[in-house]
Amino acid sequence: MNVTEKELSTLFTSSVTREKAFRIIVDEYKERLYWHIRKIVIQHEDADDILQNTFIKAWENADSFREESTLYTWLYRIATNESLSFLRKEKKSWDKNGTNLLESLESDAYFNGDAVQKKLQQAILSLPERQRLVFNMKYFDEMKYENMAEILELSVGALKASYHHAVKKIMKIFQAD
Amino acid sequence: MKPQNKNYQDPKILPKGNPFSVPEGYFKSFSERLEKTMRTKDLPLPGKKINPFQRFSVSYFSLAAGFLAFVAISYALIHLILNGTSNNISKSSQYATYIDLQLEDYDDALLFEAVAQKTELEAEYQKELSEEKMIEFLLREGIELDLIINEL
Repeated sequence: MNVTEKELSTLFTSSVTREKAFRIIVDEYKERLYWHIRKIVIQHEDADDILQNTFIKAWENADSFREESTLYTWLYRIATNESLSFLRKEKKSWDKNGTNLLESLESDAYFNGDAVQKKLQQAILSLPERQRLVFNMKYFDEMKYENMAEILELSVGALKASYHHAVKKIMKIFQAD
Repeated sequence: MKPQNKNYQDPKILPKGNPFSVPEGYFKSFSERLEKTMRTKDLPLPGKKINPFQRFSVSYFSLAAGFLAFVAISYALIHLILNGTSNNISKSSQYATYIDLQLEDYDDALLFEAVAQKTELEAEYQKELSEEKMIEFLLREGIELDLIINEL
């Protein structure tokens, strides 16, 4: 990216340069946001829908973006909320059909991991929603607690505790075999 | 070296690679597909201007509607003003004619007499008023009524 994130934020907040900034934002952040969403919803098609919705929401709510948070944090928050909304909506049909994310993982055409990786993903899916989010963001995205706190609107202490519990549960599953 | 907490679980033994994949060319074509989706949702696309015909037709209709409203209101106002004015004119002209007709019935002598009569009547009335007030005043002063009437 030729412009810094700060410059991009400024371009995005201005109605004159917003369109140009939006194109750069999509190119710059689509992959990072996609992988974050994908780890939550598992299926590629669902992740694609949610990613598009994330950018559409960002475009529609450009006026509400305040430069108090970074552009990436703001987008990340939208993506997280969209993913969680999707899961809550899908959970209703899952309860009816008896399917869930574990089965989605089994049937996912775009899962190329080995047995250990599959086991890890299954262990992560067994966590409560919030812990799963925290674990993915900390372990895979290597995000700082301060940034996570801004995205998830939780304290750093709560996040550390959540991550600790998540790791403990996962390790227990791994060490059980 | 810091002694490690016995309860500490090192997650680094867990695999860190990304086990998920995407269809070939997915990210390359993403912007195009997003644009298509936004078009479907009828959102103004980044970099694309609003359909100029759409903008023109919307303003054309509002312009036409505004013009019609202006014509209607102007007609109503003009109609109101003209009718009202003509009524007033006809009324005043009718009155003037009436006065002319009335005045024709009189010659100068009769007019003078009428004016004089009016003046006398007024004078009488004024006189009566003066006497009445005087009597009131005298009664208030304690003068008896019989005495006042005798004097008058």
